[in-house]
Amino acid sequence: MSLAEILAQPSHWLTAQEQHPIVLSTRVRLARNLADRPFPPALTAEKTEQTEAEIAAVLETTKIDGQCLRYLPLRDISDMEKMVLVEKHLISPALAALGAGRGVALSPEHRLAVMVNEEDHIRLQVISPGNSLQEAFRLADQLDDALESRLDFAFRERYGYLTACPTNVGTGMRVSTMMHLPALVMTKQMQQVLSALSPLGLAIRGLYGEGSKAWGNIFQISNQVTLGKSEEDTLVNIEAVTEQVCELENNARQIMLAGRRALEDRVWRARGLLSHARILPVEEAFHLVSEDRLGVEAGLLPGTRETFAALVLNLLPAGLRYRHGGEMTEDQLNAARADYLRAAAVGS
Amino acid sequence: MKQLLCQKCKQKEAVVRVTKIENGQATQMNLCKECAQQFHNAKILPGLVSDFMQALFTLKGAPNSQQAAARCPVCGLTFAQIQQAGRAGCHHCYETFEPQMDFLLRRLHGGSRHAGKVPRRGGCSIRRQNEVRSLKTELQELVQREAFEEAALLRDRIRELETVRGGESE
Repeated sequence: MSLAEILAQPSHWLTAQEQHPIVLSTRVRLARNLADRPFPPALTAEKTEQTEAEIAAVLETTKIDGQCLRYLPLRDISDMEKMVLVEKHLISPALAALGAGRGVALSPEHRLAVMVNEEDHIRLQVISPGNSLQEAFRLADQLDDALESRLDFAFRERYGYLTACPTNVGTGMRVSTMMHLPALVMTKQMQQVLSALSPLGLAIRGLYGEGSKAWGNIFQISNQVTLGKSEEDTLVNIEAVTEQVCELENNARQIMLAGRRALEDRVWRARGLLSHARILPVEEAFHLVSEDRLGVEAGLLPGTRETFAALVLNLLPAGLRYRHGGEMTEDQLNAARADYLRAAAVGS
Repeated sequence: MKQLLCQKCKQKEAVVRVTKIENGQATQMNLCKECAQQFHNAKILPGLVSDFMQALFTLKGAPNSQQAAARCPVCGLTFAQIQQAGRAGCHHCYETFEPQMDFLLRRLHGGSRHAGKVPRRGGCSIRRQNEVRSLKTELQELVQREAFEEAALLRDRIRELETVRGGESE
């Protein structure tokens, strides 16, 4: 399979048909390092490439749950393609910025993604659609076991898995759920949710957009603590909090539905603009798609052809450029985004 | 209305206000459309790299870094270099600079003892020790609740695990 085909392949978490009304996706990531050499930032170029070759050879001959991994060296990937991988959450922006000796291994439909030589030798990740933390963890754990049977990982009894950044030491695990919380934002309750979460060692932040703005009312909840808590405890924590936030969001939606005409007007206006606008800047598009989705979930609007997660992702610039075959100005992007939404999104 | 100039290129009109968070400090910048786009492209998933954690390296009350070992014998980094990068050079750094790293790990995580997965290879005895540790905590709780029958069963299980460990060469 060529790189182009791999990139064009829809990611499982974007296309899965059973959509959760609030939780878009779940992610589990484990950081691991080889015991016999320094972490990637402290490796020479030659050693980095040698490490890459060793890990890639293991990854390409590992099979998990019937899924094989295909290794893509970064040096074979154009800058535009790298940005597409970043937008799809398959590599980090940090990896995209690094040079030779790095890469990513992907399974079909991108359920598994393993970054090689980012700040740790291995960063394996599972993204699943909806609220499926346990399932995602089970897969990540299996892949970790398989790799560990062939590679010697840096581990100390006291500190657990050792990583370049001390924030990952211990389990090396970062777990997150991506949530769509329009009603909490509209009823101005997000601040309360934010402040309630930080004492629990959890972080919540907007996934798209800069600073305090969360485009499309999409937030990510993740654990901060990796040392002193077991994987199971962390999963249970995030699960419980995710469920709680879902409940708050549902309550807020019910309250908004009580003023039915006002909400109806709001979501139909969003649908109207999405169906007819000819120029849509990214932030406005996110906003409209989010309100539209709220309308669909509340039973006020007919459904859309694509999942909310896919709609949102397809609004981002690198993907638009890639699908249109190259460089585009801001104005061209805004036009292409509006065209996409008119044709694909609301054409139910 | 007065035209606001982009703080980056200082040529075009600023149309976007972006907030950048670095080392726990939020700074706001007014940017033109093009510079904002560049900024956005460079940091499309903000927060994935946890910059603000680095600030903890310089917290008051941290063990004196002057007394830290000179260099990690394996990767050659000094503690000052680790502080600056916010990253260890290799896993031996955690041993070489143990007092400093231990302090940091406590501040970051609230604890400094691993409670999770142990590699299967060579990890048997560690896993057993961890199990014994958590069973002992459980045992204490049972005794406090005066659930003596369950406690006796648990005590036997702990003994069993400890005997295996004693007979095993580590």
